[in-house]
Amino acid sequence: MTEEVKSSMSPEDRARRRAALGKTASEKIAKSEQLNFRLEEKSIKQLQAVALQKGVPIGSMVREWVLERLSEEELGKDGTPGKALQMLIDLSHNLDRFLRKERSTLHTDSTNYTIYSHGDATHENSFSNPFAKKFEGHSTVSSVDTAFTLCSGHSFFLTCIDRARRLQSCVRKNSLFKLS
Amino acid sequence: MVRLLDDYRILDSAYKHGITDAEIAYVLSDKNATRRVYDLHDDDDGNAQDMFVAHTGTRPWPIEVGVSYRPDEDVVFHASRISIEYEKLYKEEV
Repeated sequence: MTEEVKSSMSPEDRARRRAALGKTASEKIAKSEQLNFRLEEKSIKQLQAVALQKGVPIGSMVREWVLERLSEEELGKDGTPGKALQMLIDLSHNLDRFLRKERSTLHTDSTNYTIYSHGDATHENSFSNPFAKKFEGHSTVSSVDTAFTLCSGHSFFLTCIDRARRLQSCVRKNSLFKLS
Repeated sequence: MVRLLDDYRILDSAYKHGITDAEIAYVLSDKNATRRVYDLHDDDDGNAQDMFVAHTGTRPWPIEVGVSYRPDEDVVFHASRISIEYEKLYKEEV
């Protein structure tokens, strides 16, 4: 197989047929709107348990996860931070609304944030800000840092934190902040 | 001038080892980063043939798919778990 294979087809034509076949196969997969993959028994059992707990079909749940991750993978690919920042700003607005509803206030500085309940001075939660140093030196540090900061705290926003962390990862991977 | 086709046909012989249509498509897909293609000798009718090898994510091992480039159609005549011959080649590349 490693030796030269004699063929009636020229290497150029063979390359074209291969390319066309590969494209056709990719289109078939996309058109089928189905993807199959293997997963360990333990993981499938975990998925079953989570889906049961959420009351949704496994396929719907996994599809939602995949779509969410795909949208994050797209962030910053066009070289603009707009979409990523908008998502973070939306998250911060959600938290603002939540805090207003709970009549809580939030204080933040570069390394910590504190949530005050009902306007009194006793803070109920204080956490270090894991994102503060990571964006040092970038012009967008303040808005992103604030948005990340705003997305931490109450258990209600744990999913926001997780999302923000993954956003951060995608944003960094796609070199969004090199634009500063 | 070579004809570029927008479909391929899978012969019954390709199903002999239990590989599915979807798996064949995954192996042939140009969006599969694990795909490697090896030249085969022409078939008895003088048609060029290729062996595609790739991971599909559906099995713990790679799958090999044999394709014949006929004048009017691309034909998949073989699909199976990777054979020893290609396993060595494939391991060196992927």
